This record gives sequence, structure tokens and C-alpha cells, in this order.
Amino acid sequence: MSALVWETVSLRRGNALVLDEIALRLEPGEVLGLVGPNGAGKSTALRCAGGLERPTAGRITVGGVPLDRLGASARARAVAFLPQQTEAVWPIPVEAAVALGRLPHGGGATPQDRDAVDKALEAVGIASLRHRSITALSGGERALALFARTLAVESDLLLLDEPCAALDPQHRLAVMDLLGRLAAEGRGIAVVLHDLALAARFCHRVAVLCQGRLLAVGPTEATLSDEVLAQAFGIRAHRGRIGAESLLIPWEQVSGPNPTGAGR
Amino acid sequence: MKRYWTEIALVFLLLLLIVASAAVGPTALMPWDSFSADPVRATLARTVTIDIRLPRTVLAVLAGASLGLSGAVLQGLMRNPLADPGVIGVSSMAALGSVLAFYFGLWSVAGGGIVGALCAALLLMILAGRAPGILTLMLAGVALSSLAVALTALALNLAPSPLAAYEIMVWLMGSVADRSWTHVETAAPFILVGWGLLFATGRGLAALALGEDVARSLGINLGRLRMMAIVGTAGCVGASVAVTGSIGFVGLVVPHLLRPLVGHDSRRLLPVSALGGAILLLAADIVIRLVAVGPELKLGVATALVGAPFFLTLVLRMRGRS
Repeated sequence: MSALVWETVSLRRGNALVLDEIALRLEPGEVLGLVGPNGAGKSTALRCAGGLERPTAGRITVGGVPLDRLGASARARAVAFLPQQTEAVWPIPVEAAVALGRLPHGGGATPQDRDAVDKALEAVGIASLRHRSITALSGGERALALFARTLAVESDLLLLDEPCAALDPQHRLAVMDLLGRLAAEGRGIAVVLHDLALAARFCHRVAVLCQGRLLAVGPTEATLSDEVLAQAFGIRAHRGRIGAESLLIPWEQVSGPNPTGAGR
Repeated sequence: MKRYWTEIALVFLLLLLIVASAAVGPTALMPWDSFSADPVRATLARTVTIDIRLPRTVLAVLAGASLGLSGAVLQGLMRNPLADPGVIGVSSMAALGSVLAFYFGLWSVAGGGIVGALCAALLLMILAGRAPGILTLMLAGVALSSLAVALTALALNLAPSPLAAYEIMVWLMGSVADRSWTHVETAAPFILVGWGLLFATGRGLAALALGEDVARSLGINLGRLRMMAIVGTAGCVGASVAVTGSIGFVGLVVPHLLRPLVGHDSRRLLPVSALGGAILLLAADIVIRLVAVGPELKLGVATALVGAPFFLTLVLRMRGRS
């Protein structure tokens, strides 16, 4: 199992510096939450690591090997990526959509491939939908099917861009629980989250991004401090504790002009 | 286990139609008359079969398969069920290229067709952008088609003699009648290379079913995939149009007819669409020969008569869904 490292990654789009020297590690066995206001560069950081965008400076390595020297198929086997939005146009069965995750392994219908698809469908809890057409599903069901597609890759590293956005509370909890179990198996998971309550409870570490810069990174509770929340989001949170788990609810806007001009 | 009955049935149907195509014609000669005891009859049958009917059969198969295959590839690439070399303007640009090559006596007519098709494909990619929506794509196709048709009309308008204009007009209607082995030899190399490129896109197109981000994250090189689809389509459709004239709607119709049978996975849809295109065009060409009353109906006219209403119903059905 190998770590994914952003080595001072910058990305410039026209005049805008979307990522400004991001230095970050994703270790095997952890759930790393990427949080930050809209336009902070969370998705872009994730997309760079998934090989969807090329940093203009710096590089990303997997197990010490730079991403672009890994080769497309090897990269796809090592790092699975769930985009924020997926437009499914053809009414393909859920099963077949999930099986696309096996393409980097050859994409055939070997017993191993079928096993991976079955396991992914089970893990996400949509085995009963397997013969349904993906275009006929509800938004939440489709999000789960696409998440299962990402799991079917059986990669050591998972990059998930807002996997919970379309889900109801029960499924949000189910997905975050699943991420915890996958991390316990030794996978490294980076997940973009807008829901700070989910991040505070389920992520081992968080990276707070703001205006393309890494504002803070570290163990979740210590990192999501009052100062960081005020600086990144312009909010104050209500905190609590339930058993060993921490509770964080975004509570009110910090009054007055935001010192960093969070957001864009 | 998956069952491949559709594939097997299509191959049988194609073989059957190839034999039928070699046997049907205005002269009541059959291919097997070539082995007749009567030497005159045998020679005549051989000439009719080998030099008149077979080139026609082979061209119908090559052009039909090219159209069916490229239709399936373009629909997969553009993630759009209305894409087809005719609808998006590739065919009319290929026709324009061929007409110009013929008109100026430049290079080869097939080469002109391919260059025309290539220009169309590249212009489309620029006009419609990276992930073209239905509307952008259709409008770009309409613009390109109209331009090509206008320029073709200009060439007709400026034709040195009415005879040359007439010749171009007849060729534009699209047909595989009265073609020789020379036509086959001109077009076949480009068509075969085009097929090779198009067949190699199956895996990438399958991944594209869930969008560009997913495809790229699965290790698909989208730039290369687009180039292969464009150059492949230009090669086989351009060369087909150059020898048969424009034959529309085959590429649009065939994948739609076959998806209910084999599903949406391009890896399975592409070969089946090639077979289906060949079958459709060959069958249409045989029907035309059988119903010949007065001047023979042109193949391109026949496919348009059947294809255009199909296209309309497709648009209506899509409108009903959205």
C-alpha cells in the first residue's frame, strides 16, 4: 500500500492561480477530508491526483512514482476517482456501469471482475438495483451506483469528490461508515466534503483549503479550530461530544467583513 | 454466459444477402451458371457475376459497414443518439471534396472525399467544442451541411458542360450500380484502415458512457480516442462517399435498431453495427434491383426515403422523453 503525495502542486488557469503550492500526503489507512469554501480548489486538487488535470508546477506521486510516469492503466488501477458530476446518457444497466470500473484491469468478464462488481454492489447496498437502467434511477441511487463503480476498481487509493451531496441522511451515514471500513482495510481515501459535521465525525485528518492555498492540515478536531473556521468559511461552529466522537455544527456567520475574503 | 445469437444471425443474414446480391439482376443468370455445360452461357455468367454484380455487392458491403460502424462510433463519442456521418455533415463535406477533385481533375476522387470528410470532422470538433450538447452539434452539422451543399451547387453551377453537371448530379444521388473493381480498389484500402481505427475505439467509448471525467480516470486517453474516431470516420466514410455518392441515414438508423438486441456497450455495438449497416445497404440494393421499373431507383434516394421519417420519429420520441 502506498501513499499519494501532492508535492507543492500549483495549477494556473489563465490568470487565476487555482492551486497555490499545495503540499499534502494521503496515507494508506486514513480518511482524509478536503474541506473549504466554494472555489477553494478542493476539486481541482483531487482532479490533479486522479490524473484528470496536470499541475502547472510541482508533481503528484504514488508510492514515490510521479503520476505521469506511471502509465494510464497503472494509474487507473492505483487511484480510483469519483467525479462530482457524472452525466449518464445511455440507459445501461447498473451492473454494466459498475463493471466499467474493471476497464483498467482489462475490462473482461473474468470471475475476478464479476466478483469485484458483486462486492462493490453489496458494499454500497444496491445489489437489488443491479438490473435497473442507470438513467431510470433517482439522483441518490445513481450517486450510489457511481460510487460502486469507483469501488469496483479495487484500487489502494480512492479520491471522492462530494460522494454525499445527493444522498439522504441515512445513505450519507452509510457511505461515511463504509469509508471508515475501507480505510481500516488499509486503503487511503481522500474525500471532498461540504458537510463539516460529517467531516468532523468521520475523517481521521482534514485539509482545509482556501483560495487555492492549504490553510491547515492535521488531525480533524485540532485542525477545525475556531480560527480556521472563521478564516476559511467565515463561520462559528457549535461543538459537542458524543462518546468518543466529536460533534460540530456550523452555527452562525462571523459578523463583520471577512479578513481573508473567503470564497471568491 | 452471454449469448451471441444476434452476432451469429447477422453473419448468416449477411452471407445470404451476398449470395442473393450475386444472383439478382436484369439478366436471368445465376453465379452457378458459370459452371454450365454451355461454354457461351458459362462465360457470360462469369462476366456478369464477377465484373458486374460482385463489385456492386462488395461496395454495398464496404460502404454499408462503414456507415453503420461510424454512426455507432460517432454516437458513442459525442454521447448523442442523433450523431451520424450524414446528419453532422461529414458525408456532404466528403461529397463536396469528391466533386471538387472530380471537377478540377485533381489527385484522386477518393482522396478528395477523404480530405472533405476530415475537414468536416475537424471543423465539427472546433465548432461544437469538447462535449457537444445535442443542440450545438445539430446546429454545427446543419451549418456544415448547408455550406457543403451550397459549394457543391456552385460547382454544378460553374460546370463547363451540362453533361458534366448531369454526371455529378447522378453521382450525388448515391448508388453502387455500374461500379467496377477499380472503384473497389480505390476505396478499399482507406475503408479498411478506417475500420481498423474505428474498431479500436470500442473500449474507450464504453468508458465514455459515464462521461469524460470517468473515462479519463479509467486510463482512457480522450485526445487519442477522438483522433481515432475522426480519422477513422473520415477514412471509411470519405472513401465510401467518393465511390458511391452520398447515402444517408444508414449510420443513424442501424445502431438504434441494434441497441435493443445487444445493449449499449460499444465493445459489442460496434461490430454489430458494421454488420447491420452492410446488411441494410445490401438488402436495399437488392430490393431496388427487384422493383426496377423504368430507371432504377438510386440507393441514396431509397435510404433517405426510409431514413428521414425514422429520424423524425426519433426526434419526436426524444422530445417526449425530455
